Amino acid sequence: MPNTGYPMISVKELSKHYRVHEKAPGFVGSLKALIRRKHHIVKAVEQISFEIGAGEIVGFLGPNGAGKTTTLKMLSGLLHPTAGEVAVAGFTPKRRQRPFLSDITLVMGQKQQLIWDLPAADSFLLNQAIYDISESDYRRRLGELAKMLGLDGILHKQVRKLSLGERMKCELAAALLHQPKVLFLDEPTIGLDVNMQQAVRDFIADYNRRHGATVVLTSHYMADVTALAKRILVIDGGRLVFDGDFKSLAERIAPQKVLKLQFREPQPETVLARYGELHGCDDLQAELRVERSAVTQIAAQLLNDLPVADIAIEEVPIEEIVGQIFRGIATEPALRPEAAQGVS
Amino acid sequence: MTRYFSLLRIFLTNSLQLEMEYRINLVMDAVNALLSFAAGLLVLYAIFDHADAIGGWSFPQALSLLGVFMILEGFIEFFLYPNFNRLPDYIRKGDMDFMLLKPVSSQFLVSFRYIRLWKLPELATGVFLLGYAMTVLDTLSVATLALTLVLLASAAAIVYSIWCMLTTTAFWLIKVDNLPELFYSLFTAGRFPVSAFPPWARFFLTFILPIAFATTVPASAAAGRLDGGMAAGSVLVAVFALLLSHGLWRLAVASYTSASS
Repeated sequence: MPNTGYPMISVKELSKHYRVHEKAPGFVGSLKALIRRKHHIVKAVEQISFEIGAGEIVGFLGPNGAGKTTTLKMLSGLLHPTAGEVAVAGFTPKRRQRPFLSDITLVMGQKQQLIWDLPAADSFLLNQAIYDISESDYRRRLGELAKMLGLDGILHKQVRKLSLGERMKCELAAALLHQPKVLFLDEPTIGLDVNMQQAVRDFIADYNRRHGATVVLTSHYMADVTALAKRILVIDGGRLVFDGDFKSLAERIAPQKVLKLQFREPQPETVLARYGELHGCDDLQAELRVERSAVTQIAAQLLNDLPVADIAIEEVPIEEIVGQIFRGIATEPALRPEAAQGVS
Repeated sequence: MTRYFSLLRIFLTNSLQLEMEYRINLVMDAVNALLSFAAGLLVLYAIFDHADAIGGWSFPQALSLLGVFMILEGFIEFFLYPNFNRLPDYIRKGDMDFMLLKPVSSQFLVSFRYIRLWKLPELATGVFLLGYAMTVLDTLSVATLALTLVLLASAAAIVYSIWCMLTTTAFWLIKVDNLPELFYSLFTAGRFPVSAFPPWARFFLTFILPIAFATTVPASAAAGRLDGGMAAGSVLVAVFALLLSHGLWRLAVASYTSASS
């Protein structure tokens, strides 16, 4: 069972700045850059502070380049912070001590640790040796993971022959054989189809329940984060702009849902505007923004009143929500970075 | 420590599994090894047609040197090249991240991951040639054999360290394909005894890029013409080179983790 007693991860005023070289395009630009390098500082992460309790699942949300992966890499010890303090499971990650490395794991949706030309089972054996896992522990854990992830029949196929989803399942199993206390998952569902995304999500939730592991995950997909994490950290421009549960975030920032409509015959904008806020109307297609609480009712009305061919109800895109958070900073004190701590 | 041995066992099995897919290469390389053997012999015959010795080495002694050279060339192709050749890719594609997060030495993981089994014929030809030369020279004894093996091990350690250091620069330069190639072309100078070169080249090959220790010194032991100073020097240079390569590796990893994104 999750036990949320003491902080498993504690981060104080963490910053990461990069020196980036500038280069004008073309050959002359390269030549100039060779002689005289211009550079500027990019603040990838700026003064982030938070604590995560043991057994918690926390989701990092934010657009591309927001600093999510950089933060995750600092937490796992792959990047040295420019300033600030990090403690994970009682260790300082950047020292990468052996007991620390045995306590954590990192899964990256866009990178893989499995050996491409061999069956996944061989990568598992390699990790058994690397983490010095006893034969009995290894069998028991692999059995459990295989059952939870449905690995039957794919363990002995070469990794390159697996589908993206099967590969991700194997990646997860390989990353968890040593039973780490802390899981860092960077975009674990990227590129997967909806069913497979769901399977991965269910697995992560199940694993967290069974082993009480602390999970920090980043994602583009709102659904990943809403399904798994009770707590969300929104990062944008390297700053922590929100720390709290999803409900309060969504209701405050995106009180609306998106209704995507496809008609059998063109509809005038004036008619559609009666049902909600019209966001684009193009011949047979239209997109409406409707109050969260009224969405089902309005959808029913639309189906009843108009020649609707297809209808879909979606969340407001994450990029838009994050954008709104930023526009909200000026007016909403609770969303200022310095006030982000403790909002719920 | 046992962890590292079981890892080596796994690396070996994995490599064998991977090699199975390229069985034709074994045949190709056996042919290749024989050709390179023949070419080496032809060069020696051509030289000894005009002279009785090169740099004070007789024909059979030069044969032992060619044997040592082929053993080390085989060692490079068999073991160094397939591992270090992948390092730039590890860095670009992110495999390095996974390696750095494993509770074992990352230098070990990178160095010993793969062997190219089909490069064995070259190594075997070298061993055969060395054995033959020692029989002709009548230097086969437990003592010379042991000393030759120790010096071959030092030679391997020295070549490993140089290769490792050259490739480690990939952490800063990303694309370094040319550097090991450059070393490889200089290494071919090791076919001949260092005493055959002019003094400045001898100095360079002994103290700057210690190829003399890689081929001339073990071959001297096998040919029964070794001086103790060079033997001790070889072991010292090997230990120093290994430490240096490890130091550079740590420096590279530190720079990687402080700068990469």
